[in-house]
Formats: sequence, C-alpha cells, structure tokens
Amino acid sequence: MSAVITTRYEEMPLCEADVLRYAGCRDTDAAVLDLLYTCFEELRGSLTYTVCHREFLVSVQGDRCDFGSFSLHSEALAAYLADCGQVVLFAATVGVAPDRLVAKYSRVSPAKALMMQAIGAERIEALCDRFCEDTVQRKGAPMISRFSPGYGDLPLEAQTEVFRVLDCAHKIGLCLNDSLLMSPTKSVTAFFGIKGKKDAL
Amino acid sequence: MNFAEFLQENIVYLDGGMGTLLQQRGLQPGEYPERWNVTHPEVITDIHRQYYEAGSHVVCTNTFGANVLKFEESELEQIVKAAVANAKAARDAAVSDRPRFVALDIGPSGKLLKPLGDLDFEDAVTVFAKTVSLGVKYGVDLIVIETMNDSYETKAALLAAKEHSTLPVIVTNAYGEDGKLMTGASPSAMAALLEGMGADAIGANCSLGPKQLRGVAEELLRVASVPVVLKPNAGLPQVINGKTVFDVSPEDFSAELASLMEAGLRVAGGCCGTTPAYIRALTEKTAAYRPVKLTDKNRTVVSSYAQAVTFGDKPLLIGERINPTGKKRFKQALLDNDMDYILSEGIRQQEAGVHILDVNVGLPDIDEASMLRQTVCELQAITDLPLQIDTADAAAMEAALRRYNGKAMVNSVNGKAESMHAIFPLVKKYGGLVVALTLDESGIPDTVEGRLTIARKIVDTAASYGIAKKDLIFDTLTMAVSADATAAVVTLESLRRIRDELGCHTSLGVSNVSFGLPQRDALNGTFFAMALANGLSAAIMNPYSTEMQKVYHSFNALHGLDANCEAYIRVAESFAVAATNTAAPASTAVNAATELQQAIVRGLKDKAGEMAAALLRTVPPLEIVSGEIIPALNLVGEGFEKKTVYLPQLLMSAEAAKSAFESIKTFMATTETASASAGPFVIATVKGDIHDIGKNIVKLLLENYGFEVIDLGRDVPPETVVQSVIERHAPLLGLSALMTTTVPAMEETIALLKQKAPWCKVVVGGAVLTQAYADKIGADHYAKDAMETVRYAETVVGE
Repeated sequence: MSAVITTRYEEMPLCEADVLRYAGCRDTDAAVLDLLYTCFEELRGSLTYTVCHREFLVSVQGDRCDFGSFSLHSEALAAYLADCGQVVLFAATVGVAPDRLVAKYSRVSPAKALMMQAIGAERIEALCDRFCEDTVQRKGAPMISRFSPGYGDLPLEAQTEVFRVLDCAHKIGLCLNDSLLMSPTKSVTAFFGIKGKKDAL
Repeated sequence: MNFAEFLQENIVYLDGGMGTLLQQRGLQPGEYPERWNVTHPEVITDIHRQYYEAGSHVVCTNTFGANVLKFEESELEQIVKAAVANAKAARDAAVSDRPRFVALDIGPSGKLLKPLGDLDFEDAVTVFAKTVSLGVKYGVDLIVIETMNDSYETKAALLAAKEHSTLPVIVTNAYGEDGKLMTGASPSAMAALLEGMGADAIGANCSLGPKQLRGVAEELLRVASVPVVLKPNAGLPQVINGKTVFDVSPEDFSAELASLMEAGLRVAGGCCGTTPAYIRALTEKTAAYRPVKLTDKNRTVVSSYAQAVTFGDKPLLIGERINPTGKKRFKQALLDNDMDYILSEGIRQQEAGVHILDVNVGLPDIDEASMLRQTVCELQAITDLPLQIDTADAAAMEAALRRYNGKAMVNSVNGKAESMHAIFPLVKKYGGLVVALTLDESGIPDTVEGRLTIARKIVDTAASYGIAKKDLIFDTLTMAVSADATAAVVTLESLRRIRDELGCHTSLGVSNVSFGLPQRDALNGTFFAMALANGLSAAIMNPYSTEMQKVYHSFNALHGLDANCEAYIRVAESFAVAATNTAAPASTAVNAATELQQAIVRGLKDKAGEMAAALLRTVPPLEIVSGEIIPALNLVGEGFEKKTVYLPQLLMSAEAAKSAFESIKTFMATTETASASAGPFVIATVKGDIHDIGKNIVKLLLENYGFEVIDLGRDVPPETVVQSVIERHAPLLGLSALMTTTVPAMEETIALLKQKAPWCKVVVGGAVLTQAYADKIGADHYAKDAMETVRYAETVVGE
C-alpha cells in the first residue's frame, strides 16, 4: 500500500457529443450549441480537476477482495479484479462550481441548469479517463474500465471505507453525505485494476 | 503570561506535522490518529515534547478530527481529555526556556455544509461547540481552528469557539493552488470574515509548500490587521522507491518562512510532512528576528463566500430592488414565498453591475426573521455578491447575520440609544459594516452641524462596544427636495464633512430626493452626480435606471477611476439602445401575438417577455395564456413526445413561456386582476437526496400549464411534505429521487401521505425509478419525464 497522492490536472478538451448526450439531446441546433458554450465559458474558470489515489496489492478469494488494510465482499468486484495484482483506488472531483451554477440556474434558467449539469458530468468523466490513461501509462498495464461502489453487488456502503482510506475530505475536499451521496456531486470514486502486476508497491 | 498578550509582542512558533510521524510509528491507513491519545499516550507526548524542544511555543493537541460526527460523546471526551493531558505532560517535561502553550486543535468536520453538502450550519456549530467545551474543561490555553477549506464551516467553528470559550483563537485555512479555498473564498474575503468575528490571528496551513503559499501569505499581510499565520506542508508528497517523501528540505522550508517573517509574518509552524527538524531549522534561522509591528490596515470592507469588496477604491453600487416598498409584484412574491422571483431580482441586479445587494423583506403579514434568514441563505447560494441586510427588527437582523456566509453590511443603526444597544452587540459578535443614520431621539437635524454631532456620538458609542470607525459607514439621509429646498444641500455638505472630519465612508439612498416630483430619474441622476463629487462611497440605487448608470460610469471615467474608459465604453452601447427603445412604436397586437408564439417555440426569453407585455395593452391576460402561450407550449411539448424536440429545447421554450408569464403576473399585480390557478401541486426531492434538476424541470413545466406549484426543495423529510399537502389540501404531490439509496425515503413519504392525506394523488419520477418500482412503493403514477407529469396532473385536476 502506498501513501495517498493528490494530483491536480489542467483542463482537458471538452467532448461536445458527450455533453449533448448527458443533456438528453440526440440532435442539435445552433441555439443548443450556443447554450452549451455560453455555459461552458461561465463554468470553466472555476473548475478544479483533482484526484487523490492510493495503490494497493490485492488478493481475491471467492468474493473476498483483500487490500491489506481493508477488505470488501463483492462477487462483481472479485471478478473485476480477477487478473489484477494491484489496484489503484481513487477519488476525483471537479469541485463545487457545477453545483453552485446548477443551483443558481435551477432558480432562473432550468435550460442552463440542465446544460451545466451535463457539462459537469462530462468533465468528471473526462477527468477520470485522463487519470486512468496516465495510470496505465505509468504502470505499463492494459487499459480496462473502472469499478465504482454501487456497481453490481458492491454496495454504496463501501463508500464509507473508500472515504476512510483515501481521506477524501482532507485531500481533495470531497465529503460523503449521510445518504452516501457525495458533495460536491460532480465526483467519482472507483477502483482501477492493474492487470497482471504483482510486484511490491 | 497569557497567550493573547504573548501574541501581541512576539513572533510565535507553532508545531509541525503529526500524521506523518504517527504513520512512521505504526498508525495504519484508515485508523483514527485521535485514538492514539488514549492507546499510545507515550508516543503522542514524545512527539509534542520534541516540538517544544525544537522551539515551538504552541503545541496543538492531537484532536484534528475529534468531533461528535466521528466519535461517540463518551469516547470524544476521553480522547480530548487524554490529548490535553499528553500535551501538558510534554510541556512540563520539555527542556526549553521558552513560554509554552497548549492549543486545542480543531480540524474540519469532514462534512460539507448545506446547501453544497448535507450538514446544517447550526448543526456544525453544535459539533464544534462540543469539542470546544471539552477543550475548555480540560484546560487548554488557546484554540487553533485549522485546515478549513470552506468559509461557512470556518465561521461555524469560530462561532462555536466564541460562544463556548473566552480563549484566544487562531484560524488557518487550506488554500488551493489558485489561491482560494475549495468553496471559493479569497484570502481577503477570509480576512474580512474572521477579523469581523474577532479571530486573534489568521492565516493559511496545509495543502501546499511554503513557496506555493507565499502569494496567500502576502495577500493576508496586505489586508489583515491581526497577526498573520503560516503553517505550510513540507512541499508536495512524492513516492520514491515506494516511500512517501516531501520535496522541501528543512533548510529551504525555514528560508522561505524567514523571508516572510521579514515581510511581517508573525506566527509560523509546519503542517503535513514537517517534523521537529523543520521547526528547529526555523527557530534557529530566525532566532535574532524581531516581530514586525502590527498595523491597523484601516480597511472598510464587506465580503461574501467568495470575495471581499472594499470601500474607498471607487464608489460602489448597492442594488435596492430586493425590497417590497412600493413594488406590488415583489410584495406578492413575498406573500407567496415565491423565492425564484426574489432570487432572480438578485441575479438581474448583479448582471446590471451592482457590487452589493440590499436585502429587505419586511412586510406586516410575514415572519420577518424567518423570511430574512431564508432569503439570505438562498441568495448566498446563487450569488457571490456581499449582502446588505436591511431590517429594523433586531431579531431578524441577528437571524440573518448568524447564517450569513461572510461579513455583511448591516442596514442600519442610528443615533438613538435603543438602536445602538440593539445593533452594536450583533456587529461585535458576527462582524459587519454598519450603516449609521444621522438621526436620533429628536429626529433628523436640519443642519449639517446637527447631523455631525449625531455621527460623532455614534462613533463614540460604537467604540465603547469595541467597534472601530472603519466598520461604520454614514448615511446622512436624503430628504425630498420638494418638501424642503435646502434638503439636498444639507445632506451633501454633511457627507463631505463626515468624510473629511471623521474620516468615515458614506452611503446614501439617492432616490428619495425626487419624491413628489415628475421625471424623477433626471433629479436622481444629478443628485447622485453631486453626491459622488462630494465624496460619496456608495449609493443604494436602482441599477436598472439608465440615468443612474450614465452618471456612475461618466463619473468614474471623468475621475480617472476607469482605465482607458473601458467600462464606460462597454456600457455606453446600452445607453444608446435604451434611448431607441423608448422611441420605438409599439408592435401591433396581431404581430405581437404571432411573435409571442414564435418566441416561445424558438426559446427566446427576452423577446417572449416583451411581446407579452406589448399584447397586454390590448388583450386580456387570460386570453394571452390560453390563446398564445399554451398553444405554443403544446406545439413544443408534442415535439418532445415525438422526439423531434429535445430536453434543452423544451426547457428554453418553457423559460420563454415563463418570461411571458412574468409580464402577465406583473400586469395582474398592478391591476389586481384575479388569477386562475389549477390547484396546488406540492413537489419535493425526498429526504437524503440533493439532486433537484429533474424536480425543477417538472416545476417549470407545471407552472407553464397554470399549476400553482409549492416547491419544498430538496432533502425534504416526509413529515414536512405531508404537512404541506394537508395545509393546502393539495390534490397532487410530486416526489423525485435520483439514487437507489433515497428511494426508501420516497416509500416512507408515500406511506405517511396515504395515512394522513389519503385524498392526495402522488406522482413519482427520477433516474432510478421504473413503473415496477413506483407500483411497489405505492405511488399513484410513474412519470418518465416532465411532460408526462403535466399530462397526468391535467387528468387529476380534470377529475
């Protein structure tokens, strides 16, 4: 197990198609695109792209995934980690700006609120993708998908453990609510398996 | 010597990191370090002792996360008791000839406060109060509130410290690489808030190394009148050969801090990654340093959660539109608790360029304290402008100041003893910049000298409460020139003399001057210009008035306050547009009707509002709704159902329709036409869930279709929902939940509703819901989107 490392990223390119998909748009016109970029311009300066992560050696037996200092029971997570000797546990957030602007525009312009929401969703996904790409490059491992609490039979309650071992509140300002939702909302926690690697951290 | 005295005359050395050292001694990841006070007292005492021996004056107890959210109360007491005992044992055992103090360490709660998170402000105060009281009970010398990354939580912690102890308090925040807190506050905004509330020293800790925090420290040194504190990390953590190392050495660390001490830094220590070696290097390197004398920066300043606004650099505009006086539409909004209308007035004024928003919600029939508190909380969630809290009711003032996330403007106090005794204690406790009116028990003096005498009395009385002159801003009272020809002259001369003789800033509500006269804008504008020329610092004004904007921007350009006349040039275009608009002929009714429909279909918000206003000259309001707005909305709604129109377009049309409705509501409020409403529809996002976009979309569409919507917001407990349904005998309830974890709360709400208000139909929606799920939890209807909710609502009301 390593220490918790916090990384801050620069803005990555915006994927217009993903934003439109999150906004429920299968087709677009000039007015919608105009709305999209007006919102993005208002939002982009206040976004922060931060990730904290910690690496673990993992061993799987049945549905028990053992990370050394903690363990979780989940068949789906066990299957996901089957060929992984290491796993990177990470928490990522783009900060409170999307929440603030969604709250603001919910009161005066739901169309903008919807678009801010969609951009926030695209931004946090883009941040996670970027973090995972960097990780596979650093580790020389193949790219696979990531696995979050709430997927399959891994209950959302696993968030409590994730928040404890990553110290998310202190490291990146990410807090877990009583309902197990996260604040800021545009945030992700996930396991990212490193295929093959069994070497010490 | 007590710590407060020591702090005034000396450079103070704090301790360094604890977490890294505990990990080296076997603390496991995820294990709570606070428990080590009880289980490994010898380890904790030993680390504290090393810091004292390295030269620390102050050691912080190992209680960073010691709060009732993390520990049961009995365990919490055990932890704090042991932590204080460990620090005192180290203090007594240490070989050091320096004065040594024990500080109760308070870190963040680990929760984000509402509305961003789920911890209520008062609950946060209670959480911190428990830890503070234990620290006091076991005898610490001071309190250190540290690593706070949110201004609101910092305020809660400081308030708890002030309410439950008389100890000195040091407050340090965790600033990011952008030089701001995670929730947006700049160093100068934090300085305004914390100094206002009486923190003894303020600064930054954690998150970055000393080099990266230099900008934050320099900014604090520039604005703060109290000692500035810096406790940086030993740089950034890196993993080298599997080991975590920090990239700044004790030598570099101490060199950076030493250079900041030369610039005025008074309190220094280390955070993550620093060890007794860092503190030793620092104390040795700066052994010969003398403290830079503290100076009062004499800044007149207010702040929001994000920014500080300073008086004196340039005249400031205070928007007056959040005020029911003389505004029928606004009164109606208050009576209906139509928060959206009130908030949109805030946003519009910000767009019109004001720097501060005045907030007045006083109306005879409403509970002003609760309304003012709610309005302040909602406004500060959607705007980063500082607020001026405007009420004559001291209880309402306190309710609002307590919840305000920053240092507010307090409107107002006057020379009456009763007023000063009610307001000054609040300002002392919560911080604030007070508007002081030059009137007293004998009224408003007619003479300049009379008003100055009252001003001097207010300055002296404020001082006796510990409130400095810089936190007073004088309003010399604008009276109607129609009633007294010398009124304007006396007001202006008074404000000039207050500025020159008392050295205080001034503010005026300018519009009163023209009361009772035609073409008021002309007089207001000229009076505003004269006041600015006499040194007015701020005006409470109508930012939508072109005349006032012309004066303001012209004055700045002419006074060298607008570099290259940039601001003037930017707004000058709107002056020209305003002039043409008044000259333009009204559209004909037929054109306006077609254009209104098109504007809604195409989602043109401003145009739809204008066209509706034009139509209202000739067509009755309800005919516009049934003949133009609803058909246009239906066209878009059908397109959405056929998937030729998508959600953003649907919403843009709905907003355009809402803008048309707004014109109609304003018209009806002035003409007092009865409005027809299709029965109250209560909607809420269920308890535990803070996602409300879907719910807001439903609300907008329902309003478009004429439903009166009672929006209870998000994270609403079942009892509140049912109570509201019963009160209004609502025929319909809409519930939204986004997450599987909050669906049980929905089920619970429905069960309670069916028991207490069986007449009410309930429709549910949200990302995780399905027809099967809706059936299982006893909903009457499942709506897959907002349009379907409207269709269902129509059938229910149709019955």
